[in-house]
Amino acid sequence: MEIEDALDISIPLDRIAEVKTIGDLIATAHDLKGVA
Amino acid sequence: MALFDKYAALIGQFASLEATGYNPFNVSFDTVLSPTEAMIGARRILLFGTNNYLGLTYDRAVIEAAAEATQRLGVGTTGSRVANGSYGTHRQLERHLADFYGRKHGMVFSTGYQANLGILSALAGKDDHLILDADSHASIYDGSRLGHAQVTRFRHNDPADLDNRLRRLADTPGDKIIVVEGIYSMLGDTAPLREFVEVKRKWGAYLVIDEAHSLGVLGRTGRGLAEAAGVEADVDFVVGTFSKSLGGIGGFCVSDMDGFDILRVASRPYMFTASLPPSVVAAVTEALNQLRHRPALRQQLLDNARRFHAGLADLGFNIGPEASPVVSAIMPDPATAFTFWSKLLEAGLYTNVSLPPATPKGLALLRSSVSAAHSRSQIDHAVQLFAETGRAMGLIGDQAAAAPEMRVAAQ
Repeated sequence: MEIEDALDISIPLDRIAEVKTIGDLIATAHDLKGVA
Repeated sequence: MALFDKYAALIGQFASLEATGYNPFNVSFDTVLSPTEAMIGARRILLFGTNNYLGLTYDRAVIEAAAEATQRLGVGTTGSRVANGSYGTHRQLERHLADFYGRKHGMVFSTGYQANLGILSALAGKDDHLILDADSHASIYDGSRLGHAQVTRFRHNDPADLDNRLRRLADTPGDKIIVVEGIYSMLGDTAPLREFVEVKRKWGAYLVIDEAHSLGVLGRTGRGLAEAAGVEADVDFVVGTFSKSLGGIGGFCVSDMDGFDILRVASRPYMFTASLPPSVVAAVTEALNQLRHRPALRQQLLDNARRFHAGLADLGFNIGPEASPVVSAIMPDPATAFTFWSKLLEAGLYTNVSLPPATPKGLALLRSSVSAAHSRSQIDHAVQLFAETGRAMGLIGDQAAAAPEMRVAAQ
């Protein structure tokens, strides 16, 4: 939840299960923020 | 590789618990004597872990209603209400529940777990958003997954975090549905419902409250936390269970929402489960009648809860913040929780061990539940056993506990 606050995003639970690496996290955060 | 090899670690842990002769997840009572006592072998056990809040499991009128219904209507319905038809008593119970809550609609499920599964999976579809308190019960998480909605969590009992989550979703299509509980089953704490309602109104979300542990416990007439907080008009759906204060099994949802009955053919857990048998429907109907007309039961329960909570607090146990019927002592680690639990059972007191992932913040809990049926001497005896065991294990100091009357008066 701290990461979500820092990035001002809410990661849905099904997406959290897919995040295994920092790269996954960056890709998910970009996706949720609508960044290309 | 064998099918169950994936459970190797769990199998090892379970086997080691079995080897101790005191596996908290495999307790079997040979005879249950009353709402507060049972037998394991030749030992009489004091029950402090059954969620039997109003002690109605042995109420004479409830038993007679169940027996009469069995004689008249048989032992089971043998099918789901959608496929095989309802009994008139199913519909009567739904009307009684709706009337009790002052709502237009009521719907009964075969378990409390299924009530959350059936309601949450049907309320929120693929493009909707469920926003759950992080400490929600497993049935809320499982029901949320079943409907394929987008599911996010907010920090337990934190309206500011809920507000943040809804702000982030403000420009996202789909309905937003907040899910909270009245009394949380692990630590016995209550939700800050008025603050949650303000956030709900601000963002135009819907609010579901699970009153499983607060029905019959909180509120002027026992309807739960929403009644106690004076916000019932802002709660869109109330979910609850029959297996705690009402002493039976089953679950329900009540609401004023127009079109509510479409859930009967949209909710798969409702559609594809056999309905409650006549005996259970009759017992729950009578238990609800008892709950409504015997407010003294609720007062007795709260008096007992305060007495037990104060007793453990006075001994120096680290316990939940509120004197509710759920009283949990926080243990240093799971091994200590198991040992404490087994020593209490050996001494004749049954409680619950609760461990992650069922517990918040990874806590190891020794969880007790208090009943209106407990006598003062039973509560004081339970506190005494906690004291002796806690001292023997070095978890609490040797100071003498205050007299029970002084503890309660101080609250």
